[in-house]
Amino acid sequence: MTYFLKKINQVKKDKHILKNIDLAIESNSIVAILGPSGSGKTTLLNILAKIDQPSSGEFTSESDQNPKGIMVFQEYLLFPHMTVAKNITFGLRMSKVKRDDIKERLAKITEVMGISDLVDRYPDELSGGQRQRVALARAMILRPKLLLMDEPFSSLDENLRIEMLNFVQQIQSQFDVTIVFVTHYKNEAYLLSKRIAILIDGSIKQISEPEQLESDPIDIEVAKFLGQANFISGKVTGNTFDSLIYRGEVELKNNPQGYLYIPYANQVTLEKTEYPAFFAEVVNKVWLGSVERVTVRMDSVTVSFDCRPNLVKIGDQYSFYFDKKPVVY
Amino acid sequence: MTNRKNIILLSLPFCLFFLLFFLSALFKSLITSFGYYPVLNMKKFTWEYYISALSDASFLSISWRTFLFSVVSAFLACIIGMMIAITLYRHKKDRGIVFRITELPVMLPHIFVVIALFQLLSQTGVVPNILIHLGLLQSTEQFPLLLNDNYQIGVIITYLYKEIPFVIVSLMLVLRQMNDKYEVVALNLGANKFQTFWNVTLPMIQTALVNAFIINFSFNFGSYEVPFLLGNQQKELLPVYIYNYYVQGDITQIPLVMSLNMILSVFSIVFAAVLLVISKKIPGGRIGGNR
Amino acid sequence: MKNLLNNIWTFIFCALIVIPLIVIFLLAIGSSWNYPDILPQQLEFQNLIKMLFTNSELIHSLTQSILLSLGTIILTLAIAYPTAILLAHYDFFGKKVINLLVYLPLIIPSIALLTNLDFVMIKFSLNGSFVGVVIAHTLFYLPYAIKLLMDNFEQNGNAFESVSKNLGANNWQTFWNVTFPMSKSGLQGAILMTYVVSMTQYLATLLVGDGKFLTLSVRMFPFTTAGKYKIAAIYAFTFLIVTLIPLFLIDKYIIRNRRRG
Repeated sequence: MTYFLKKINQVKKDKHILKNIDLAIESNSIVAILGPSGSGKTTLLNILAKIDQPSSGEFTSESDQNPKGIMVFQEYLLFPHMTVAKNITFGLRMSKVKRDDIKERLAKITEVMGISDLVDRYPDELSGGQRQRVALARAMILRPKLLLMDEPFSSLDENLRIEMLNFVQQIQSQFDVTIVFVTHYKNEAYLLSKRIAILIDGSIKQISEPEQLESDPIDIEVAKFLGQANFISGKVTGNTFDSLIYRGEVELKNNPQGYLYIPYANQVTLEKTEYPAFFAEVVNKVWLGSVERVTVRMDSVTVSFDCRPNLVKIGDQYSFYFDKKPVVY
Repeated sequence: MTNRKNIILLSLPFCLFFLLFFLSALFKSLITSFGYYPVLNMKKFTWEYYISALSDASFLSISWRTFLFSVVSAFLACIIGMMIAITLYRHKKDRGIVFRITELPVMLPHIFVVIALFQLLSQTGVVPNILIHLGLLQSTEQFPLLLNDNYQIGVIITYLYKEIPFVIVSLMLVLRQMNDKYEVVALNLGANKFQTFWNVTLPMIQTALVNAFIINFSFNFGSYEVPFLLGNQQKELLPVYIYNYYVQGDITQIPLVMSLNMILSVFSIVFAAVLLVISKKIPGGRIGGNR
Repeated sequence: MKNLLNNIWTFIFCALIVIPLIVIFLLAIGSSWNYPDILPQQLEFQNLIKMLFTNSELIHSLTQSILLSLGTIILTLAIAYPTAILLAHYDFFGKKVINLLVYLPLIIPSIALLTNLDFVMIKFSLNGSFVGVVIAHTLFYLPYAIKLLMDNFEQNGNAFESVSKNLGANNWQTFWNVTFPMSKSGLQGAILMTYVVSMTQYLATLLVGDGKFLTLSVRMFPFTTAGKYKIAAIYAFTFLIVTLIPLFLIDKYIIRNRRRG
């Protein structure tokens, strides 16, 4: 089964928030919607949750004419005046499910989430990670086919974030649920999802796997958003690019604006290839664990990229090469 | 140690004032109500005045009438005020000119409303006149008696005019602090609009609502001015009854008046305490309604 | 369509609130507004203005009202300000008791409280005195003033005081440079409301003042009971001028400006 977003537009107070969104979401998968803040991510999620109606376009699925996602909100929004148990069973109580069933499903879901001993507490007596588990339980107890998560990990600290990422993956496979989540951290998206939709300024720019996204962003906006790259301005004539640090043949993207794209990872190397890059002096290097981020200078231009540790020395000059034909946006 | 000195210094003005003018007043009327009244050479403690107060049929019926009247008007003010507050908040009219106008009655003296009501709603007032001009009434006698009437309608209108805005203003403070996304969550989890109001919105504002109710009730129960101006002499309300008793000048009646005061004070405190306890126990009580 | 309906309801709501004010205004400036007139027969603005400046009873009432209010403001702040700091920033044995005591004057029926108070004022020989009336007025607004200031202090927290002391200021400097300026909005609210509430007091002024303080509110009553609505309205109108207009101006210029600055 697949969910379809067809030509979704959202206009509010003359602001065009979503522009012609087309997206197919395979069931039983995790799809990440990645984009900077203000790009319309939450608006899109609200449409999937039927909190908001789009100005035009439709959201359907193959089996269900009117699908509705259950949302886990960014701030969790656990009702402060209800215990954990009351919070989790809220949806079931509202749709008047029998008491015994509620009890049974509560016991089951709290066990899966590892929060069985918290049911009598109030939200203000929980830690951040516990709150998220309760919020997740409150949604999952309704056995949703489509689960939506708004910036689910942004307020957790580093260790907890990794733990919860794994946990969500586990939940997904255990319950056969489709998860759509939005985030502005690309690492979160890469860790959790094989399929990432980049949403910038209300349009979906690119949908692809993490590796492909990094190596081949579709345009300069996506490349700039993903960051972790140098953009060197210069002039394009035919297939040649001319700048202070590099002159030579390049691959041109659509409507090139004259920016040479040098990602930090997997582009610049010391090994000789058929694409000589530049001759430059190493001015700084920072240890990042498995790699070193090296900064080189040539005339007034500095460029940064990752190298194997201890390959270069500060103050020395080297000839660098491009791994593959460089790209100009 | 400086902490302790600060606490004593800071609490001094309040404690002094309350001791001299509040607690002493309570204490003096307490002992007087038990018949200790040296001015008349009475120095023996007795339950006599309480017994006669509580067996006085007219006092009891006036008290009961005033209690009912106070509960009904305070309750109406809370319900109507709550509905208006939520509506204004939903439609983003909680700031600017509409809110400024809403705040107005909170600052106006009751007598303003009374003067306007006399001019508008008495049987020879402007409103019956307009109705006659429109052909809806034939004569002024057909217009119902709304002021100085048997059902305290004039008093209730005046109190509602002052108290509905008071409820709106106090609820608005809570509503603005409340995250209105909680309602979105409830709807997303499958609750309908009424369920969302009943299970989510109401618990979050109920403590503020109960506080407003208590303040309104106590005011309605004990305030003299409006019942004096707009009340009915056959159906007297308590404050008028007590005031008349107190100022009639018969000094031997003072212990009895003080026992009436004591009974009413204790009753009001107990009533407020019961409401506060209930509000603590029902959903929303635990968090104070403002998170 | 729905929007229009909403606006109509909002309009009706606002109109209901404003109508008494319009009636007071028309009564004050109109002449001979009696049955069966729907509106006053004539408007005589000049008469009203002349009266405001020359009627000695009116001016006397106004002065009395304002003097009592000023006294009440001073006494109320002198008690409410330290109490609010105490309740907002300190923990001590008996805090709960004080917290409850503060609200008692609101809960005890005011007629009982007033007759009790009058009774004890006679004992202290304060009945009929300026101080006595100021005390009675203070008792009735004190709970609100304390609450207003307390909310303000709680909102500010006391971290800024710690910063100030950490930077080398002493207690006194900290108070004048940090605590006091930061409490201005609460203070302003408390002063304005105390002013208005003191102006409106009728029974407290009459009873504890032994009828010696004929404020605007006190004088309005006999006129109303005697059916002299026009003269009552003129007093009411004077009341409006000296309360609502300053309130409005202060709100508009001082509070707005501070927000901008």
